[in-house]
Amino acid sequence: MTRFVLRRIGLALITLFLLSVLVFIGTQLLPGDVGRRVLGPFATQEAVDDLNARLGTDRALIVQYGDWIGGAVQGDLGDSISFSRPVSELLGRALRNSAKLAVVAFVIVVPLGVFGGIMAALRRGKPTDRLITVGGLSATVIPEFVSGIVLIIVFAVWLDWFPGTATPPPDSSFITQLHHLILPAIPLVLVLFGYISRITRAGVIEALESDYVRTATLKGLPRPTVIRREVLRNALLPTIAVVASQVGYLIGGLVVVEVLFNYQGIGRLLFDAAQKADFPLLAGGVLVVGAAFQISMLLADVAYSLLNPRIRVGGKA
Amino acid sequence: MTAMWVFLAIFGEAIAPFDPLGTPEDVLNRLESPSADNWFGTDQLGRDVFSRVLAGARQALTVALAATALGTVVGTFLGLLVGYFGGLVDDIIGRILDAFLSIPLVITGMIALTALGPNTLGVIIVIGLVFAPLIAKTVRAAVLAERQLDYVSAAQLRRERPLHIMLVEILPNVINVIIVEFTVRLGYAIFVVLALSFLGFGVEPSVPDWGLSIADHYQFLTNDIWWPVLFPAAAIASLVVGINLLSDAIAQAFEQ
Repeated sequence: MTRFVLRRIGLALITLFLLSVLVFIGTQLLPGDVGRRVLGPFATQEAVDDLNARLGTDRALIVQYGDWIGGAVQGDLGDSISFSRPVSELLGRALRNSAKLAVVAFVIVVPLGVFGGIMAALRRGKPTDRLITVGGLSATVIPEFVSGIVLIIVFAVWLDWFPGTATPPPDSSFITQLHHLILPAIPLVLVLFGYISRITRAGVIEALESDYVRTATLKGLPRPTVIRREVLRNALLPTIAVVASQVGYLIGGLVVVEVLFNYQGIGRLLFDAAQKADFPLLAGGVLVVGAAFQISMLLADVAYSLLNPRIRVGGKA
Repeated sequence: MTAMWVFLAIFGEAIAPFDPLGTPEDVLNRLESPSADNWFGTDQLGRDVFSRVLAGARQALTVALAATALGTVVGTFLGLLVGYFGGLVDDIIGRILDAFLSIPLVITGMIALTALGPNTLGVIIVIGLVFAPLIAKTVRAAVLAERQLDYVSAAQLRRERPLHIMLVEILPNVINVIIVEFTVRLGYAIFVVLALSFLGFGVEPSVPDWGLSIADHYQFLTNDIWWPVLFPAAAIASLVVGINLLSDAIAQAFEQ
């Protein structure tokens, strides 16, 4: 078990290293002359050279990379060009905001998706199943800004039940904050629901057809007990892995939702950074996003192996 | 539904009652609500929303189709190579792929297009190249299964060249997988293309694009001006759901 976890952490570290190289190439090499990109075509060459010297972008690439990643390991990602603040400080605040939105979305979608998947599996082939499967898949492919726009028109403009922006007034209560976050969370919920319910449905169907469920049924256990004790315990395992793997998608979705609902989270920050050609902020932000994804995948793998009775050693199976 | 949009993508501009790019006089009729003349109302520059929704079908479909086609061709070739030779190449590409996939596609697109500037060709290339490894992964799995079969060994014993075996012997047997992958990716390509143009990284301004139209007009929602936003949104929703149902049907047809 320990060996498995260590190996998995090793893999995650290698992936993160490769990611940092990719991010570096993407944000430092692709733009060409960074100083020129920031200042625009009309700046004098001296100003561009000066900025490049100040940013350190006039040095050899390998030196720049070493400097950047060395700082990143110690939590120093340099300074943002457009905000003139440390990148780590900006990212910290944005991550807190995004986490709130993500938690609201997950708290809604996980129970809903799991419940929908179980219902679909138990009524396999019937209209309920078709409705959940096809409806879920269709909701999954509609871009967040499309569902978000419709939600704003209906619930914020016409009905006026929810505010059209996600940013609550400063120092507002938990309830007010929640009230602002529900509408932006729904587009994310719609996209995630299809994935979660589909994987839960597949897990439940597989469990229903397994030998141990047949044994339990033949033993004369009542069906609700069989479902609760035998089916769900096994079927929910793959769901955990899927929920974690959707963290990556979620951050992409956050960009769109946070821009639409004008919410100061990580997606909005990356959007601003890209628009203002703020490469230090962009590089730091993407690195943090990649790290968050790798960590959630790591936790999912570990949780999966801990919970799976076939891998677990020495527990009561 | 998909057929309708494909039809509109080809003939939409001919049907459109007004010039989707607008004329100078249009500015006099800004943001008018839907009427007998302008079924879907007019936008902030007085352009007919109905005409722009029709014209937008071509933009969305061509960009997504081109990107997916590029990704499928490159990805299929990569998948054949990696699946056929396996070993170290497989490991190295797999690792790089994992790193690449830790960044959401929308963000990858944003970074690349920040460097390239917003343009349609850039979107096609970026999405195509990101899709390539994803498609390669699927093709690789299919090729691995095929490689064990006797007809491949027979071809190898006949001393046929690896490239010939890959393209002539294996490719026709994995084509179903590739077609399903193509339709699934197509839906996702539309999703990303429109998300990028909504964020302002997709297309040049003035191109009749659904994502851009929504981005340009959602600020007016608070004044209850919903038509320049809701109609493109409905168009997007119906197109992606249509393609999704189509790819689902194709996948099921191959399974049987």
